[in-house]
Amino acid sequence: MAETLPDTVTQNADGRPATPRGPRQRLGVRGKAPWRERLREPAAGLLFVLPMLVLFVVFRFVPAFGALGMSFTDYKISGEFDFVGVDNYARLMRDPVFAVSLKATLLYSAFYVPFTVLISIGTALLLNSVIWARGLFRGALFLPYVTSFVLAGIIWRWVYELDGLVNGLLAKADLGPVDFLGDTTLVLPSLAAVSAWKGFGYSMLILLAGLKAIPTSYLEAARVDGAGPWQRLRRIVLPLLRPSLFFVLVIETIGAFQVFDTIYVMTGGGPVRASYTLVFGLFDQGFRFFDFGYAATMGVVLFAIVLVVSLIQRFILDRENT
Amino acid sequence: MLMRKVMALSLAAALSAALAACGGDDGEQSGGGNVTLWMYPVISDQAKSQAFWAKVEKDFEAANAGIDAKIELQPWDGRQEKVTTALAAGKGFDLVVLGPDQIPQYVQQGTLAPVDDVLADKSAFGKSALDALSVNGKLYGVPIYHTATLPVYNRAALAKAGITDVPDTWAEIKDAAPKLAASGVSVLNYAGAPNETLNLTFYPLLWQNGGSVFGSDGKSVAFNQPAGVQALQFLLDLAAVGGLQQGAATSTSSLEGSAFTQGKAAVLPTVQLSQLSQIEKAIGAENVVVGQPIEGKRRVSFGLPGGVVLGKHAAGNAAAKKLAAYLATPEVMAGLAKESGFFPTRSDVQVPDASENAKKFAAAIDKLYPGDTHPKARQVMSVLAPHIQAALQGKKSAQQALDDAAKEANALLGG
Repeated sequence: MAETLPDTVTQNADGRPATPRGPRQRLGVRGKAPWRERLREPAAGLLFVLPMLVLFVVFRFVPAFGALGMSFTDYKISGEFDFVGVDNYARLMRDPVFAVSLKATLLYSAFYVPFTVLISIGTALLLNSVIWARGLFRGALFLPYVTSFVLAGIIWRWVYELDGLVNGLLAKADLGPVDFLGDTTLVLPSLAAVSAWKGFGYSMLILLAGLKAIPTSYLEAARVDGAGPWQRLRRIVLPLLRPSLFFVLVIETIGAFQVFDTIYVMTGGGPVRASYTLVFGLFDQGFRFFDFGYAATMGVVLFAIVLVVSLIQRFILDRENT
Repeated sequence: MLMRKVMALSLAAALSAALAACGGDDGEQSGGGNVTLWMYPVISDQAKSQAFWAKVEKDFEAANAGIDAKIELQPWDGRQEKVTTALAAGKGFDLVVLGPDQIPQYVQQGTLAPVDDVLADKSAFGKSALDALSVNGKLYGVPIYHTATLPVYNRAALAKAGITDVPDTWAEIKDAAPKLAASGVSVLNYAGAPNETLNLTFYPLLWQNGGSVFGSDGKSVAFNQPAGVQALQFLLDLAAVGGLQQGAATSTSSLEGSAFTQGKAAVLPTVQLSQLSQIEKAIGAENVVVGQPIEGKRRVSFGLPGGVVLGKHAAGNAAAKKLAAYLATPEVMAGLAKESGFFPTRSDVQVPDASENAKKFAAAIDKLYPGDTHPKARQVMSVLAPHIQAALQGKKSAQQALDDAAKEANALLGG
């Protein structure tokens, strides 16, 4: 950077270059800073991030690459294995249960992501407009996020039961009973609603932070120009919220593809495998069937699917940005 | 060869890291004079369980100077996952309690060590218990208790429908179903959720009808043979006349909030002695009738020996073998039987102060079946359960459901 500063390079009256001042005074004989000087700043930065980097490599990259390697083996609990090439991948393509679990995962995501994002935006906008006891409301809305999934699952099972809370309310309107968790068409939206209730708090906070970052002068100017609430939301708030929204969309989509706890506690993958998602299948293969190689294969394919979906989301949002 | 070694190291590191990240046991290495046992709530009362196992630990250490024994109480929930994780890591426990349908799969995976040398004298133990805990002629579990399940009836619900004798055969249950349904009560409380063990739901019906889960060679399943189809059809016939509680296909086995404890079902087919007190509180002790195993073509119910097994990583741990042997002594076994409501596996142990109901359970011990011991028993169960659920929901016929399940299960068995 120092070489580009024009005010540090002048000429003497005889036309010879003047002795450089400022940053240039530290330059070496070839016009560059000594290598120690040049490395000091990045090295300091690296030292700061090193502990996290080590943890990340040990607990993320090594298992991820290990899983990739494992997907080409018939790994046993005892640690013995043989390489099986791409057999696990070929088996996956023929496996009807994998197809069922992929369909269940996609359907679940199609319900869960819009549910969660809409609830998060709605509650973030509400919180942003609340003046009195905002902290209290924020805490109350965030509470489900920190609730144990097992506990939440058990409570929601009761809520959904044939003689549970929802059916009690429906009965007052002479409707039902509806078997929310026993009906193959209703089970995924019912589970997605529970997960959305449980998970929207995190996205709400991200979006609330995004809303806080929008300069109030923009909204004031729009108001002065006669823009109504809907126009301000559509023309100013949502476009400026796009980076936060993209982050929330990606995070929630990944979360949807990795759903497990809700299903484990509430349906066990049923009824009739209607909620048998990819991660539930992966769990079955690994911890019930001890087929670690095949489970790892499912994990690798799941990773690829999530990556592709995230890239598509990024492409769409980036295109809208331009 | 080099590539293979690199892969092995990478996989081992990856699995260790993944397992560590799962938040499992802290993995203290045991060896020499240390032994860790994972025990489960076989004594359902938590306070009694803690007191009993603390005393066992203390008494064992007093009798074996220099050995540091640790008995860790684990929940039933997530048992298989935790045991699998611990065995994969070679850490967590030296000894753990498993059932006969779980042991073969771990033996096949090469993670358990035989315990034939732990029991110097096997003559005091019931042959059926030893056989159930053996794989390929080697004993892998030291039998320390035997579970038993029997049907329990709601006398008041039966009386309301004009039924005075408890229905304990398939024919009587079928006859009772419409009468009970007319009074708003289902004859059976059935737990059809796919994550429920079939050992307590469908399999007893299969066995009662003379069927079995696996074929005699173990290379294919047999549950879709006529005996199995009739057993599932029996359930479907009951459901058709209101003989199963509402939502049976998705019900769990939890007593809390179940149709039986709410007086909406007359028979809970597989109950353990330790569950009776909760049932008595729910429907009144005067209404609780413990029956004998239900009879189809034969009278049989589910019950299995609990075996203390030794992880292969602890095969050389002498302290672990001493603790396993100590748990199988008459004194410990009698105490465990008294506190747990389960039964001793030794013929020379008498349970002190047994109640009348406990005697009924003890009398049924020769009518109990532990299930098929097959390395893929649990996997086949996972495959079969959703298809039974589909039949209960009317989406498949009994034959279709079992044929579909058999196709998947046979693929799993490599057939």
